Amino acid sequence: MDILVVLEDNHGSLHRMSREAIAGAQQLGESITALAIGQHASLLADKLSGVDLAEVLTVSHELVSSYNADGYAEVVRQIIEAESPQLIIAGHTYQTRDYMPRVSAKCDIPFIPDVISAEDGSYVKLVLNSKLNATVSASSDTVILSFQSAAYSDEDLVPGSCASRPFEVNLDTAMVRSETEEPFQEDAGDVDLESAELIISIGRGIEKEENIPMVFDLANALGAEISASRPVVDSGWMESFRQVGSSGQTVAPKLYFSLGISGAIQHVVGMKGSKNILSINKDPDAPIFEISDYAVVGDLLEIIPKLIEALQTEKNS
Amino acid sequence: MKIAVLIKQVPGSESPLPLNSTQTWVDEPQVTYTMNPPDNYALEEALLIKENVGDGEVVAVSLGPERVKKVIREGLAKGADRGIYLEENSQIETDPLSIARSFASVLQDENFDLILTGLQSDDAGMGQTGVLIGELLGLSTATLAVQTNIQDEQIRVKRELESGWFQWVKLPLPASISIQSGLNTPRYPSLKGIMGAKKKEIRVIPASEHQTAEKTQTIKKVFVPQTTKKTEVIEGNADTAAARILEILKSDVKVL
Amino acid sequence: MNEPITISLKTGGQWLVSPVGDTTIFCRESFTDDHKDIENMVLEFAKERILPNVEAIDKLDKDLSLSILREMGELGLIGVDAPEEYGGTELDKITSCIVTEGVSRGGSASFSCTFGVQTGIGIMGIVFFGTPEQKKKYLPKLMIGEWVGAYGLTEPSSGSDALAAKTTAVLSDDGSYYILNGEKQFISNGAWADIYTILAQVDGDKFSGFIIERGTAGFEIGTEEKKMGMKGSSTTSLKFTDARVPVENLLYEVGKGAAIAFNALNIGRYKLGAASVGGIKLALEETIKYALERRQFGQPIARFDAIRGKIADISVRLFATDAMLYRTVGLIQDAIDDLDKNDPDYYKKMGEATERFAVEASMVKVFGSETSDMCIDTCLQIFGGYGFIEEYPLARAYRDDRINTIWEGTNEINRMIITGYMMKKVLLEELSLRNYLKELDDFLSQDLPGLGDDPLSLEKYGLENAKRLAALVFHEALCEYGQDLKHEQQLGEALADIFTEIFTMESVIARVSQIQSANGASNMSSIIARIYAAETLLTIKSLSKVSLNKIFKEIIPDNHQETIQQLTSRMTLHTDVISLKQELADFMYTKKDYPF
Repeated sequence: MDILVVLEDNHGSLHRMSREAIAGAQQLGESITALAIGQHASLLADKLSGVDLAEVLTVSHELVSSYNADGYAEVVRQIIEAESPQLIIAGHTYQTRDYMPRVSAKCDIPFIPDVISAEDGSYVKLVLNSKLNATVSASSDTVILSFQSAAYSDEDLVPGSCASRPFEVNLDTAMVRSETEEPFQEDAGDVDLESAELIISIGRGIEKEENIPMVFDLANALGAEISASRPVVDSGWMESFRQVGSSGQTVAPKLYFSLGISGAIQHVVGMKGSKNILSINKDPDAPIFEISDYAVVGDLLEIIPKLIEALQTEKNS
Repeated sequence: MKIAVLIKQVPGSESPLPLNSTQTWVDEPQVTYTMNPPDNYALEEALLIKENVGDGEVVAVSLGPERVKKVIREGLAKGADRGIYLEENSQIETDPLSIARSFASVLQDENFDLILTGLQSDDAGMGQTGVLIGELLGLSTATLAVQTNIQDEQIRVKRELESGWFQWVKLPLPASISIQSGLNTPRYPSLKGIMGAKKKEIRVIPASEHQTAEKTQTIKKVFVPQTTKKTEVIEGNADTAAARILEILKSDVKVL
Repeated sequence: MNEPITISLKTGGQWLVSPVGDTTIFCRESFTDDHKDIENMVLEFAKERILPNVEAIDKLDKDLSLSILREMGELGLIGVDAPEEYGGTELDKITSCIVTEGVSRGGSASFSCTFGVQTGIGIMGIVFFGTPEQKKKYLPKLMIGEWVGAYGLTEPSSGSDALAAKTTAVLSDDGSYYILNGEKQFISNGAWADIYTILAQVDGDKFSGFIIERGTAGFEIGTEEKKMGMKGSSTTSLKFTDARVPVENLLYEVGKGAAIAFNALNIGRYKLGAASVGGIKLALEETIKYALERRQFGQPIARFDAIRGKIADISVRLFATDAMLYRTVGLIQDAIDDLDKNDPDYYKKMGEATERFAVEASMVKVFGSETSDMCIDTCLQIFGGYGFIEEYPLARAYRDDRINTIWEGTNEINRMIITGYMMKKVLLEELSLRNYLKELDDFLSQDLPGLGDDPLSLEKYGLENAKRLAALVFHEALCEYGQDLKHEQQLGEALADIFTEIFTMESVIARVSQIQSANGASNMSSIIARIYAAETLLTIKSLSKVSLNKIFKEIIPDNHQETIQQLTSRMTLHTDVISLKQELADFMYTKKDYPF
């Protein structure tokens, strides 16, 4: 086995970033084994039946039927011990960040997280709030990697076939010390950002709450949904169900129109799949411009009223 | 309740970030530093837990070159009871495993009930030190805490999952928890706190006493991301910008 | 026998006759770690708690302003100048200025005023002169912002002529209370305060202070003034109609009101300088950002040479104000440090020590407020048409700034104080002009000293000559007019400006020299010193010429002609200030703010 990809169960379906991780792994090695853990393990294995993999290992043990860091870390450790992969790869998700460092410490294998590209033992990751990239290399033969969202595309998955094989793990209750309750959602709201065609998203550059109605005027004129970045939600200016980013929604509209969003990675991972990105920001060096198709350098508080005006003139004529 | 808070000093969000001559990190002298923002929330959470429990100790711990003592002092000014400073000679240390070993070697003798860290640092952004230490010291761990409750020898943690999902996890103490930003409102240090900070103890651990492990990963090179996307830059006054945006909406993206 | 007088007390004005570079001055670079930590805390607080609320505060939102005030009270920021025993934090005057400056970085001059009154004139009378009972009763609640303080000196018919106040206080027949009658005007925190320090005449001519509580019968608060700026601060009149004030609320002693008034003013003056520095820094940062973002003719306006010159001018003046402010506060603190904290009269003696630097405090007030005027005006100019629009930050700053040359003593009054006190120092031989000028021929016979490695040696040499020229002009003015010089106000103002320019230029040079010896790499501050020295020496020359023409009625005597000629020619620098300003502005752009 060259590469082990640890899959993530996203409420019964395969996490998007697990598919991306496999696509990435396929570019890095020949023999790829995927690992599915928990009550939906065989379900996840089925979803990969058309993908070119050496095999899918399934682990069903009552102590890991749903996610917990203690159990997951131990399962991955036992598989590494048994199968000796050279690379262990997962999507850079919240869950990976929760248990993978424990695997790193258990097995004494370095964990390089948040990787956006990999080749020949050197890995590029985001640093300094994604303002810079860094090339990292490891001194050991075995490395754990987590791939940043959209670092690889699941459209590039190499088709093929694979079999699945149950893997017996040894777990006892002493190993699992935490008690995990059922996941729940708060404040779901009735806004459907995921299927919206046009989203206007507000960032810190809106400056103050009083400026928000202006954006709703624009959204009305365009027939758009409104979302926001975390700072705006944290300030209490927007409901949390409108948040886009790693701790909020992932969206992929036809047009993502960002207003005063700087483009921190936590936000970008939630919207970079958008077909078109149009951004207004005062700061010509804002990272959001790097992923934008259209970069408007200017003051949104001046431009928005003009745009609303122009849209109205357009409508009347 | 004896709580260690790991605090890192990182470049401020508005600091210039020019590369150093070897292009292996930013050029230190030109950078302005600040307390890693997620760690500030972890510190506040530690102080709140201590205040709620009614007794205990909060210890501010940092590793790095001499300058990082400043964030320990800031922690002391805000109410931490004492500090531990792990001397590190290189300007930037990026190997989480060896960093965690250093911390673990120093923290294990102290028998902390709780180790709190920010979810990740704003510099290297490895986001794993707290969990690594937990594993190395045999503690239970949880990440992305947005709420904590201490209940006899246990801590109940509300974890943030993705896409608006949350989950409660109950852990036995001692535990190592990484804290998500925004779960509390960090306090300002009071003048009395600032003046009193210098009377509080900062234990200095020389590099030779905590660095044992070999480095398992290193940053070889840093660089400014090259955009592969073709971006049309629109400048000029608000009128021209608005006119061009309207055209984009109508003709390019066709959403009107 | 003309033995130099040994001055046992530390006192102001000595810099005029001391060699350049003789002393180390206190400056921002001398801040201790505590100073820096406090500065960071205040700046963070101002940025997060004041800056986002500027507009709301400006709508005269009392609850908002007072809640921010209480937050600052909890952090110990109100009581920097007050004793720990009564809830203060009792730190040095440097810290007091750091806090004042930091609060101004919050961008609300209105809130700065509310806060400034609460931490200054609103409490200082009680701190300096209150009895232990008065302190115990009032200070703890003022320190945490639970009570708000105000101060009433000005009246409708007595502004600058403060001691001519007409409000009367008459002791009741049974001796248990004073009956106050009269009206106070332009009282900051007027409608919001709980505790007022009021000055009134006892028995017609004994100027005295009183502590008056809100709600006292016969004490009414007038309506809010409609002001040009500072719209978020409360300013009202106060009216006393047979208001009964218990005798235990007499502050200090009958007839000692002037001490209360002047102490408050001296402190207020240097703090105004600190507030100006904070305000200019904020305006400059906003302006640099704007100039880099705003594009005309295909490039950011920051790149145009006319704008570079303006950015450099503001930076240089700001650096100078900062230097002379902290030098002054350092001098005052140094004198205070000589006092015994356990002395029951510690605070009264602190007031006296502060007064010995009244010249410098007035210089800081005049220079700070006029620099602020020039800088805010220039920043607004760089914003162009947007500077005139309310949504942009400069319009409010411009209106708010206008009061600074008026309050805490108009700049006219302060210039009279500068020249008047300097005159007094010469007459009392605290400052020996005669001895200094006796060595003038000797000085003139010496050639230009070797330049050495000091990049500012020409500037220092120019300043040495400027000091002689100033001493000469001042000496001749005193010979010509004697005590009547105080009636020659235009001449007095010219002299005040010469003194201020010398003090400031020396502060800049000293600060930069200290930065250099502390850190050899910092050549930008050296550029600032060169620009400032070149321009200031020209100003001093021109002011001196105007003064001499008046003193000698257009005929300069032959024996002076040559001396003046020699001094002024040695004050001539050939510095290319335009190129230096270009370099300085470009540096500021890379920093995107004011980094000194």
